[in-house]
Amino acid sequence: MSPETTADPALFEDRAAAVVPLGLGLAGLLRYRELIRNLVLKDLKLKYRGSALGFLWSLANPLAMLVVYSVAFTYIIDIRRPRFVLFLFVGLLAWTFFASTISMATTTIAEAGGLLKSVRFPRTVMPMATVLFNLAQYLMTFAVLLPVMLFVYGVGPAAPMLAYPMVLLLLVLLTSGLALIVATANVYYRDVKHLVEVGLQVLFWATPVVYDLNDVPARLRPLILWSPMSPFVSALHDIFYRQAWPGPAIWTTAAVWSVVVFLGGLLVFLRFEDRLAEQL
Amino acid sequence: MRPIVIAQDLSKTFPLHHRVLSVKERLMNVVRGRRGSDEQFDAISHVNFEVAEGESVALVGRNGSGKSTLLKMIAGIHHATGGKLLVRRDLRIATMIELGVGFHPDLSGRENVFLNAAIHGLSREQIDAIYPRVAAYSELEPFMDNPIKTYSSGMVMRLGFAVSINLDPDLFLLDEIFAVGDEAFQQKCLQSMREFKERGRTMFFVSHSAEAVRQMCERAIVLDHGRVRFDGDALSGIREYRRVLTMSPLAVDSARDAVRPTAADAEHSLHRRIVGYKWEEAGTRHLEFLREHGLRPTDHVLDVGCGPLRTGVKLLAYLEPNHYSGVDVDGSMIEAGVRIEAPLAGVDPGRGQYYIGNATDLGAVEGQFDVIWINGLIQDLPHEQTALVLASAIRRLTPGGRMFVAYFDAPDFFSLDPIERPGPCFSYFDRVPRHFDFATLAGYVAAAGGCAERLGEWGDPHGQAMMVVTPVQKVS
Repeated sequence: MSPETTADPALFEDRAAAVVPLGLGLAGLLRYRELIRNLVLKDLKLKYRGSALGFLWSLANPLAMLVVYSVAFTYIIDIRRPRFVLFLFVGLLAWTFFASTISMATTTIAEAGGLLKSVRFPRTVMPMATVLFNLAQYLMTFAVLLPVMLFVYGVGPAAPMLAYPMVLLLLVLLTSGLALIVATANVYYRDVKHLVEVGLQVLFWATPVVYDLNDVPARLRPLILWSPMSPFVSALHDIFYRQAWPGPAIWTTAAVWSVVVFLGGLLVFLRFEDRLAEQL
Repeated sequence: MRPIVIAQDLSKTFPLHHRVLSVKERLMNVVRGRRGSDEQFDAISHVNFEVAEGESVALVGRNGSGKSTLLKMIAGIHHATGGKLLVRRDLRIATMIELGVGFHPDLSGRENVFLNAAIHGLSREQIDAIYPRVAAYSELEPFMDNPIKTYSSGMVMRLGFAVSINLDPDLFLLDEIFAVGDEAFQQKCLQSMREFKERGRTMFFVSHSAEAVRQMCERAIVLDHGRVRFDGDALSGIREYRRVLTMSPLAVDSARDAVRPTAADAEHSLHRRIVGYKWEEAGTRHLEFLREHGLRPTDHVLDVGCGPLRTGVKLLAYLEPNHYSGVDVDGSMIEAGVRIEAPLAGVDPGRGQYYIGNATDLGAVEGQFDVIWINGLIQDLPHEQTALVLASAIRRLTPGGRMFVAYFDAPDFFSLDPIERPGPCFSYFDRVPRHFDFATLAGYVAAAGGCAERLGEWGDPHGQAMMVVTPVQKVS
């Protein structure tokens, strides 16, 4: 029995020639959805297991930040923006989702060395689970606090709020793409972790979270739009704060950022996926 | 049988200085005009084999021979740098490369089973279906809702193996899992592996243990420096593996040279001082004792911890040629016996076989034995190694064979005070030379399928007691 005659490529996979094509990479994610679900549930359970207040703690962080920023910007820096807390709330929660995902995703592969070295599964699962864990946290917090905010400020439901799912989808794509990139890069260069910490600090102030994009001088505005989170935060301000539909410029920048970063991130990740275990 | 895994001219090289570089280091390398790591290490080179469905293949070789790398390549964790490695697409593959990996200490046993099965790609329905079997197999049902940080390492291992074996894989890749765990669990694993084989499933098994290979595999691939040195039946594979290391036979011809030792050389030599005083007296008494207990020249004798052949030279002279085998972890001791003691006693060391290796695994020693002699060994070993030596030796007894084990006797397990021995010297509970109580040793023997009996005074010059072990006859 000669190997040449028996080794039908339809039946056999050559493990020597393994760069995962995009389609297979996405199919792998789908096939391992149970693993993703388990990883997300694990993180959610472990985060509050043993604490008396449990989920309430996840409200504590955004509330504390809201109080601090509101006091600082209303009474110290004296920004006279009506309904400032609602304005801040909408952008700050989205930013927190983005920033904590990216900073967690950076080490998600590097810290799973033992697992990666002993079982083969699509490595994309790890950063994607991080994204979904943070998304779940974000949505739970948002779902609890948003109605409270709207009620306090007497804002009723408005048609532009229907755009929220679309903004959220694009935001998740952007965050996923970037998460895949930093997770890969950190395996090769451990400096990435520190770079990400610094980068997020800079991006926070380059993103219109505590200020309004419309207040930015026109000549600086293109610069601000180079922060990938800017169109998303701005769109959320439009939807919930102004109850207006986001303009075409916002939509375009958001869509371009998210599609380019997501596809780029996925391609980079899949390109290196099979070598990650050997690098650890 | 249809082929499952085919390797064609398979190679794998690793960069030699393998670690993560910081950006600064990479920049420095660029500035200085050199690549990060030019030196390479050939972990696997030009390997060819074809494994068909239903085969159980042992990958053996010394540390660094490439066997684990090869296993990880089949698992799809490492990737070849040359050649082809064809693995059937429609297989369900389970890997046990590190036990308990992917378990989270704060999650309960149940949650960890779900997580671990999901890592292996199972769907929710599949996991629901296997969960009761996993829980039952692991015998941990009452503990399934406790976090596994409260488990002992043995319990974690049981859970890990229970998940893997119940994944019902088509191809099972195992790396050295029988190194740990209690005897009962090992037996359960082995039993499951045998059933797995009987169902016609395929297995790759990386091991250092010739004994485990002998029990689990029909075929062995022996790797040496990343190359296939042997590929064939497991027993021949073990023999070949023994040549590459762990337990290596001593080539008598090279040890026997032209130097004629004198009695004075031997009298003051290091090996005699290490083994102890009363050299001649002890050796003579040992043979006398064995003959009183029915030793005949036609018996096959294994001398475990033979050292420089104190008893060995007497046995070599008494037994028929090729009926004496000696094992010792210290090759220089055996060599001293072959070069100095045997010529001095006027016997040809070529009448025996000698193996250098740890007595805890006798899988590489050829043949079964009518008499196994363990003297001057276990007082230097900790309890767990003593248990392993006894278990390993019992398996090499012929059905009517007997094993004689000399030991410093203590009244009970916790004999914490030093006990004075002729010499004078002392034996201790917690350091060497160690004393043992008979009940403990008899327990080790019973657990390994033997029956121990304590002999009274037998005239040992060192004041050791003697235990006689016979294998329990299997009723089948």
